[in-house]
Amino acid sequence: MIHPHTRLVFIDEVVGNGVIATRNIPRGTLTWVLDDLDRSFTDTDLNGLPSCYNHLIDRWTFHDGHGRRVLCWDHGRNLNHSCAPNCGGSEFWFEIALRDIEAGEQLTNDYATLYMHTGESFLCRCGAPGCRGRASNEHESTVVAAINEQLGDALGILELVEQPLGPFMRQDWLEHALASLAPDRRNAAAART
Amino acid sequence: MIHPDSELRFISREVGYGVFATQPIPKGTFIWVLDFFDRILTPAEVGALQPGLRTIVDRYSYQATDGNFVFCWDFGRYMNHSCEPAGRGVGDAFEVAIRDIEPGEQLTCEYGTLNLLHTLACRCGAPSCRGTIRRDDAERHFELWDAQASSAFALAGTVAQPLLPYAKLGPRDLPLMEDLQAGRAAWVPSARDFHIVDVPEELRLGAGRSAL
Repeated sequence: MIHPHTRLVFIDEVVGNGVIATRNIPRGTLTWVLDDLDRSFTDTDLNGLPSCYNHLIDRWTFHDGHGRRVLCWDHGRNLNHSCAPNCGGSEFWFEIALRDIEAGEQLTNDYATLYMHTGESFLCRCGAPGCRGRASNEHESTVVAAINEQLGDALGILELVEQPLGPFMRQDWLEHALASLAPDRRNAAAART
Repeated sequence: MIHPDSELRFISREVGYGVFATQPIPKGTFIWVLDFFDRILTPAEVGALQPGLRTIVDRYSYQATDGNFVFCWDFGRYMNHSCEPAGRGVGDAFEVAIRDIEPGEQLTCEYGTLNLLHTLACRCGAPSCRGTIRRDDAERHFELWDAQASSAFALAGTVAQPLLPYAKLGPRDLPLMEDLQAGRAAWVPSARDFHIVDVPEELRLGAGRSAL
């Protein structure tokens, strides 16, 4: 489920729709959490579908890095790519604000963290300083390392900000994320609780 | 899946959103089909949802003839009710346009065949507005609804059907599809057969609005 203080808006003809914040969302806020209405498909599920579904799968689902494609039921599926994203973490089944997001600002993530296929790419016009121009998995390891650094920092202040999506968050996902990002962060989190 | 020539629009705080045609859609067109992305939940699964999600499913899902709840993944779930709707449900997977729909016109359906858990007040404004929509409305109105559905489905083979390849066919759709492919006038199952008399045990004491 996407953060309640967000809205689907039409951005422009090139980009199509996107998700904007309707209020300020501080760094460390959960912006999306996988919930029981989101669907998660295995390759076997998807291979059994008529081929006309292929474009829908490409457009609306993301790889979770654990062999599944996730289809969000709400406008969480409309988040656009940015080379300097303000959200990250979807491979851990949640997303968190990597920096303060202002009302009216678009929520974004870096699609290179979403396990793009080799050869899969698209032109990027995100306009961020350092925009890679073309998003693909070519720079995946560098991108993921940079985002994970920010993600770890944002997770460190999870308990300090308001969390409207808190009821949907699972402790085991948080522990898994902390353990994957840096083992010492897990100890730090354990020490706080 | 909702027809591609349609868009979601905000109507008002009271009504919320609605789905509107962006191109002419002729009578006989499937304006919605059940597809493989739509989420199917058993009554027990609905009953076990977290409160925040339960409210959403209560508001945006319908109970199909097999007793399971259908929660559409796309904005098909925002289709509003009208007592003189643009479409009628046919078989398990289809909503067929029962008249020519003009661009800008709202795509509406009949909630009286959706096995509502709660009686709803209706302000659709249609001349024949029933004022209230009940779970068992099909028992009283099926004759007109069936006649409209049959007359529309008879045209299904003569108009473009962009949604047909996406349809997830149920047991009641297979004979319909055979008739469609053979160019025969289909025998359309009655709206009365959509009606499940009992509210599922698990959902009788629902949160929020009072259950029937």
